[in-house]
Amino acid sequence: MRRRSEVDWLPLACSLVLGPVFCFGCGDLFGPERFDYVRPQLRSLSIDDMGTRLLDGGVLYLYAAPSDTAFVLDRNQRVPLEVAVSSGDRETVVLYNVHCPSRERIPGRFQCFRLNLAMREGHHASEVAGRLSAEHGRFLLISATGWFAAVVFFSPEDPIGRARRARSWPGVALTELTPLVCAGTSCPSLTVPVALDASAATPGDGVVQANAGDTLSVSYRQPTGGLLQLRLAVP
Amino acid sequence: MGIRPPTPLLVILAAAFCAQARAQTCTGFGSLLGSKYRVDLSAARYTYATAVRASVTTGRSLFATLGVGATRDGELDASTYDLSAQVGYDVPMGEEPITFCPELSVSYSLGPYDFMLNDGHFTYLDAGVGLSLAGIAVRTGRVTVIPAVGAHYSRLALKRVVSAEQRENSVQGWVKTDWYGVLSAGVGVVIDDHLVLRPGVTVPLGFVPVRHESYDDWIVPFGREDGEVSLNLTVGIRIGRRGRQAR
Repeated sequence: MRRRSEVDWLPLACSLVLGPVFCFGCGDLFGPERFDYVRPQLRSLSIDDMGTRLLDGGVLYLYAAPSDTAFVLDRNQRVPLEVAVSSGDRETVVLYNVHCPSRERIPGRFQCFRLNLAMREGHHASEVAGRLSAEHGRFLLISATGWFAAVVFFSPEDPIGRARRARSWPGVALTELTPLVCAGTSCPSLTVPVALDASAATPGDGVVQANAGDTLSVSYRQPTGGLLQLRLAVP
Repeated sequence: MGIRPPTPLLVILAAAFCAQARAQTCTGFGSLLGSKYRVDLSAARYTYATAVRASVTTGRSLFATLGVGATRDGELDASTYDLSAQVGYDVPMGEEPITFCPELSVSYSLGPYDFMLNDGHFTYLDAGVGLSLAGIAVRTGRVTVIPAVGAHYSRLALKRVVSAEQRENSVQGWVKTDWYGVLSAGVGVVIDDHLVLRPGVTVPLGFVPVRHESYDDWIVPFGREDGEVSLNLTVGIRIGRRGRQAR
């Protein structure tokens, strides 16, 4: 015969156990996880400044090619880079994979930071500038008539979710994940887009402030201790 | 190819609910001899996804489990919702406390919808057979520890259901099928014959390699990766006390 005192603790025990059971699986269910910095050996850095100033400032794309061409960051990993401008701005930015999702066994991979928007007839992409800014993004390209825009986001978090959210922006007809443009081993596999403004330096705000005549330098501390550096004169 | 529920399995499942046999130990959850039902809540962490599941198990030697669950891949912003059933038969091997059981399982999953921003959705139908083996390693007054291992072999049918708009644009739906296996291991800890804690691992095997830009070879259970070792934790509570019976 079971004594009463032996079973009274069950409700408490169950509560204590069930909580951890569901927290065990809650990372993907209830939000993103924190990320970790890693330092792979890089063989090169490069800059793409094709993000010319549009309605809302500029975009500078930084790229890195790991020495191990098969290197891929996990979803919660980032590679830190230092960006310094001769006029005083300094920013730490973090590289992520060019391509998402981070796994290879999936059809339909796309560029993590990019999204294409097609507007409904009679609407211009500039109408979504406020929404884009609120999602920490900027225009990369707007077509002459404004029906199409390529946009860039400064974080790789939740690219599919934000593409879905963008569908409900006013005037947007559809959104499209941007297909891969370069998938060979010679392509840089890590990148980060950085907002670029022509204004006074504000170190640490996540935006690179640079003006004509400045020199912009990007630095990476290799795991072996060496410094990989790239300099660009701002025209 | 159409997807139809396997009728013989449903018959076995129905029979299992009426079964009056002896025990259910082979999966590491301990005997249901003293209880009518066990309610389980479980969570599993895969490489890229997370799954939660609730299920009810009943029977004795012949046992059946009905479950519902969800699998979520946060990076893909995609989820499936699952309904599953399993039947098994607990067979003692010589002297107690080692038992094994043949098992049949079937599951149906709905989703993900709008996968990678492609309109339409997917459904998964999975039917499999397996064997589990468990033995009572430790039995004290209040705690029983039951290590268990299992191997299952399943046939998966993945169906892509296109939307009306996609059909207008000549996008075709399709069905693909393939076999795969799952190895599993766990340790059930039964406390006071009421509460069961069962941490475990599973390893799926045998998925076809996927080419990056094509759905041609994409036939894998949602959220799983070939060869990944994933952790899971199940908490079971036995309810509905049976009358005491001689074994």
